[in-house]
Amino acid sequence: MSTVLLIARRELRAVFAGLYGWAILALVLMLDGLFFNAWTLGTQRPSSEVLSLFFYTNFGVTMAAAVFVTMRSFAAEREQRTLVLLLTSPAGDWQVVLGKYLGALGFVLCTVVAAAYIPVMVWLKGNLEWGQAAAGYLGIALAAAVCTAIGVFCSATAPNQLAAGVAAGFLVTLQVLFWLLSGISEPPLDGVFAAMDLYREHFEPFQDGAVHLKTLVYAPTVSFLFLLLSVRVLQARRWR
Amino acid sequence: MTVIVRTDRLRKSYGAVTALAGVGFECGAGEVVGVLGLNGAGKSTLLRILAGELLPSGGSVSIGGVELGDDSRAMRSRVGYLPEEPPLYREMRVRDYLGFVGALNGVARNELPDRIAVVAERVHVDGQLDRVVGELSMGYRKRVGIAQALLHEPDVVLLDEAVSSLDPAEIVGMRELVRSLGGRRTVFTSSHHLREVHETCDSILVLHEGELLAHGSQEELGVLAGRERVEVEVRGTAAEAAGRLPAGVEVVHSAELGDDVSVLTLDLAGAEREEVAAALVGAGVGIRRLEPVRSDLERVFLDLVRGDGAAQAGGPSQAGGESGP
Repeated sequence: MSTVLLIARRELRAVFAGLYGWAILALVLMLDGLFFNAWTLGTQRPSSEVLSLFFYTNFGVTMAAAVFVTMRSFAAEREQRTLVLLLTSPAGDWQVVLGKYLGALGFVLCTVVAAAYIPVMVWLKGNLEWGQAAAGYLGIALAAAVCTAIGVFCSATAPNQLAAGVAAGFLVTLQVLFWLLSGISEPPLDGVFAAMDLYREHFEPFQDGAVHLKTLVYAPTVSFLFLLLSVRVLQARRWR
Repeated sequence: MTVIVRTDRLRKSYGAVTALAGVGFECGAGEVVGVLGLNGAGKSTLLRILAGELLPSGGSVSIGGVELGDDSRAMRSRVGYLPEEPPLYREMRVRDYLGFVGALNGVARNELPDRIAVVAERVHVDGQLDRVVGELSMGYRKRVGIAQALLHEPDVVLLDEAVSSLDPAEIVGMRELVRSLGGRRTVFTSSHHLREVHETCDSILVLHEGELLAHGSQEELGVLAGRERVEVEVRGTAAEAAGRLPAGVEVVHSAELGDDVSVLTLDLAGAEREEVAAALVGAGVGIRRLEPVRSDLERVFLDLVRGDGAAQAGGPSQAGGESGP
């Protein structure tokens, strides 16, 4: 576990060491603030609705942050020829992938924490429901876990950072748009697509304060699947 | 000799391209081994397999008795590897970078500061520890790359083109550094620069198109290339001595040293030294000295790669290696 945390710490520091991480953080805060300003400030919406709208916005922004930060993950190491350092160390491929994943997820969660000033404002100026806030943040964390795993997989697979970003963006968008496929599919596929939809099926209830057990299973399962695929990609590189 | 690295029928293919075609050799502890070959000969592939970055398509590799197939992580912990492009995180300070690599390779946290200090002094980057890696010259980057390969005190150090991109002063420093690594650990260094190999290595692996053409010391390779040379100092004139040599032996160079002493450099072309000595003594020529001439590596290398040398000597196994699937 110490190797995993070592890699995760380095990953997190690397993101903050350059302009890149700070730029993503600034973008997240700007978008969260702009949407909050446009949709809720000066309106007479109840606090629960304001918080729900904030989580709705934060969900999308967090997904984008996950895509942007993970596109570097393996692809940048390959471009800078530093991946060999990890691959020739005694660290196992699982440890490398998990370390990269936790480092990226740590950054994504930092952006979530940075935007927490908005719920604090709701708490100070309105009537914050702690249950809804906790459920909303749990939903954000679970969605971030899924999208970060998808991003890490794309970064492990793609030849460069741009391709990794495009692939991750496509897959994350697909996760959010499964409900469209569900609407035009016949049973039992419609049910399958609906169950895979990240937003409608697995996040929307959380933003309104409901915690669904199926999501508590779905998010770790999908994350594990993409991390497993990432490990397989690394192992395949040794055989190529 | 304690064998520390052993490969047997090692093969590696990239799709239809064969990078290594049944390479087998053994290297002892403390040897400095040069890996020579033209571009595409399979040098980097061999080092990448020894480092555990790639898995072979066939055959076996063991380092310190640990087989790659059994536990590649255990094998990797015994190896330090510097690829041609040093794997450096440019945004980190040298000290932090070495700390990270050391911890990654299992060096205990409380030992890291001392270990970093010792290794940094050894590779002469002790004055650069607080600098950002990205600001270092290529020579220092290579040195930091070697430092990261040494931190966990591996049995085997692999240096891929360690002198590429270095200026002449840095090359001299690197040569001394590589030489100093031998003795305590086995060092493999691949290079296009024959002089580097000539000056730093105890033995040489010659790869060509994925096959091991030869393995041995420079003198042994000279024999393999069918071009062993000896220098013989005799009483009398060089012309008299040359007239008494066995058939086929060529005089490459001769000189009169005065006081009725001459020296001849002979290309034995397959003849034994004893034959030469017997022929001269039998003809009444007094021999003051007869010793092998250290082979000109460039000539030996080209002879081997062109294919005439190994065939004459009956294959590389005579020099301690074996090849062929």
